[in-house]
Amino acid sequence: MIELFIPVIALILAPIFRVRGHWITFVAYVATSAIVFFRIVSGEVYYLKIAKLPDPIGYIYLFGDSVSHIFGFTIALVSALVALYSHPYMSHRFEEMGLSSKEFGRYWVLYNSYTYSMLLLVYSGNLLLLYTFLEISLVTSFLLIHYYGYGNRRWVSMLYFVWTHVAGVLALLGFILIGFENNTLLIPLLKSIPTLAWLLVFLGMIVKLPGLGFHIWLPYAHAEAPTPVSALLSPLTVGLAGYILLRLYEIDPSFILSHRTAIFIYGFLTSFVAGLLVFRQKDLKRLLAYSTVSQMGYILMAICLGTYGVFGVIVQYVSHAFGKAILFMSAGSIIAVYGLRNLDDMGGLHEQIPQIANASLIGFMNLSGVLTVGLLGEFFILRGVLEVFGLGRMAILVVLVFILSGLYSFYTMKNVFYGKPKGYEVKRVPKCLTVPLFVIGVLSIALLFYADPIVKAMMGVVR
Amino acid sequence: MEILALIVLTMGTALSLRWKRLGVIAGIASILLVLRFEPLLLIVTLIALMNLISLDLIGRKYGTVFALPALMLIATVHAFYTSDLPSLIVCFIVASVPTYALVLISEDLRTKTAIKYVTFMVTATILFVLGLILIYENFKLIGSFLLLTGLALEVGIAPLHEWVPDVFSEADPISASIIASLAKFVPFLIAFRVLGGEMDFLSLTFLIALAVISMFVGNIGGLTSNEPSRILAYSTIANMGYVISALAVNPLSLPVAFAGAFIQLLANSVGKVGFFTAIKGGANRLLSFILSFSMIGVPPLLGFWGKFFIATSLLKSNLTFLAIILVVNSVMSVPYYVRLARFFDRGRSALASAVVGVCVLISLTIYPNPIYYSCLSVWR
Repeated sequence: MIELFIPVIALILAPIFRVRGHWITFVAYVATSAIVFFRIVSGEVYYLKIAKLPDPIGYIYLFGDSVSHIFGFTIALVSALVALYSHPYMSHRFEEMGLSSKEFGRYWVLYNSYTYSMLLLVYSGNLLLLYTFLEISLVTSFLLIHYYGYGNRRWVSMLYFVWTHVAGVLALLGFILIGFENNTLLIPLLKSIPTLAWLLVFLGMIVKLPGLGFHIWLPYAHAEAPTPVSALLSPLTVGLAGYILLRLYEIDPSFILSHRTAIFIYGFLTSFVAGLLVFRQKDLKRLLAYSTVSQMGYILMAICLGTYGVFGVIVQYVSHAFGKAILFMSAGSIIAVYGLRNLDDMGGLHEQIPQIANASLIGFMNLSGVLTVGLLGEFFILRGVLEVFGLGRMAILVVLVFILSGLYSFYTMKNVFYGKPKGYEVKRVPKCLTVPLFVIGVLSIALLFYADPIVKAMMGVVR
Repeated sequence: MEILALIVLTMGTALSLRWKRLGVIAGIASILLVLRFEPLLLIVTLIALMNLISLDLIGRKYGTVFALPALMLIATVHAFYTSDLPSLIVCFIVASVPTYALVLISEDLRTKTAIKYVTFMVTATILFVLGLILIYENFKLIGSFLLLTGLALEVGIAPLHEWVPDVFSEADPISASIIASLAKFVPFLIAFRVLGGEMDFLSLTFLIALAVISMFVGNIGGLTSNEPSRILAYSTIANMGYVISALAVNPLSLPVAFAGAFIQLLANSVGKVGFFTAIKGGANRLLSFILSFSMIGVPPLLGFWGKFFIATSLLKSNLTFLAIILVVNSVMSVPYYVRLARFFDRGRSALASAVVGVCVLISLTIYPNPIYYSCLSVWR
């Protein structure tokens, strides 16, 4: 339980230390993720009652089981490393915007409340509490884009806020309906979910995830956000929609099961079309944003695939979080060091910044499922599709998107880091801009060979 | 207690013609005299107190002005504890008439607007009181129509909202803040007592139409306005739409709807007092963002709980479409509230900052239980 309260220290102290706040945030979240990792291994389940609200809300409490632990571990770890990375990057950004380093006070308040609300979201034992944290994470990330974003940041942040708020309130209506059906909103006590409620929540979540057609806001928001925020938004926040779907699926899978094929095809189309759109992007961060949409299609496909699909959702969240965090941070490093965003201006950057190029390679290996924890995710999804649909057209579709991910990964690598060097001068890259990338990279490879605890923990959930 | 408060208020106001400071003291004293330890009424009292104190920002030309919010508060508190017809009528009139004077003290108010305001209010009062009497005389249908029309005129529900944008943008921000906050409680209280759960199909349709039109007119108007006080005017219209939609529920979920409506009124009042004071005296950017988020309905702020309980009661009464319209509207309001928050940079006067600070503190009510149960107990 203690691990859920360590980040409070960072929330209070980091703004006081301003410029040096990144160390406190880093240490707090590393400690949290370490403890959470032990919880994954020991498979502990716990409750903490906070308050009682009027019916049909019921008790508000925090609740941790294996699924929460795996998601919580990912969130804490990525938050820790992005905090470390924030320091040099945001110094550069503040300089660019003509702000003094005093601005770090506000930045750390927003950063810590954003990451902390995401962490608590996966430990919420009540749907209303979950919604509350969903909205707090939305508001804080909105303010971060609003204050420090690129381009037309006011408009972009508004676009992001409105779309995601729509997602949130649709889900809220669904939650209230669930509350009437069960006369409580306590997640472990929920028995059944009416179809209308499922539909509302599902609609909300495919706006947030996002699915094809609802993905308009995502490339703008993720590309124009300051890069450390992109490195939280894209890996952690959008995937939380998958977490919410997963929780409801555990309670009552009826909706997903009865529309299995339709949702699966929709997930495939999301993944496939967004994957093709990646090739048309000229802005590196926008390209990564489209690849996020494509990866979220995996989650939509996986949720239809029974038990192995559930494993697939969880592992896909972890692997995508690790991969996309590395990639956004490396895109940010290129911006911070060379000020480049356009793909046309890049090429052969491996000559100048080999460390970032190698880290990106690991990131793309995560996305395309080569030799990293991403491989495990793809394994579970394939296994699931074979169990549910058998070896047939559906399996071919899945293989198709896997190949597409690999293709766009190496297309991007070639365009950015390999090929003919453009002859930029070699510059020194601050340590904080590269070390976090390698830490995540090494962990994502290590987790493939040490996947036992995660798989065991997931087995525990199914039982 | 109310009698004693009235006596204190009258004495103080009479003497304030000579010693201006006495007006303030008498106002505060009478407000404290009607203090009840009921969370809902405590917050209403706090709002009245803030209204009274912020009147100081207009300037001390008139000492008697300070009596007006106190008078409105006494009527409001009395209305919560009485149920006989004459008292309700008196409370309604006493809570509405002081706003005429408050509008008239504003400096750059055109005569046309002042006449418009007074005419609208007098018509509203007549219709409301007539409707009230007819309902008591058992002419339910025509009575509820008249009452609803009067209510719509009085609090500014579209399509009878003509006066709201003009008055809010021309009157002094502080006067507008009192009209938008303290003056709204009594009309809704009476409407809930009289109409709640007892409406026939026709008047229910009328009510729902009013609610839906008001939400849309308010939010579209807010989206297309640029001036902060005009945005606030339209935001008030939208909020009145949310509150009146709670009247449409069935008798079973009426207590929840009542709680939701009054929490929404509180959130609206606090937001309006905060923003109007900010227009007058400036406010910190962060504080105005918190007020905006509360008005948007971001959990766990006060504005969220109002909308949450209203939506809950609507869903429980099978009015799913109305709940969806409410939610859609709360999303539509996002851009203009954020735009509103950006108008303010930092506080220019200590008094204004203090008032805005208290408003933010009330908006930060993340544990709704005390207010919720207090609403339920007042309802019974």
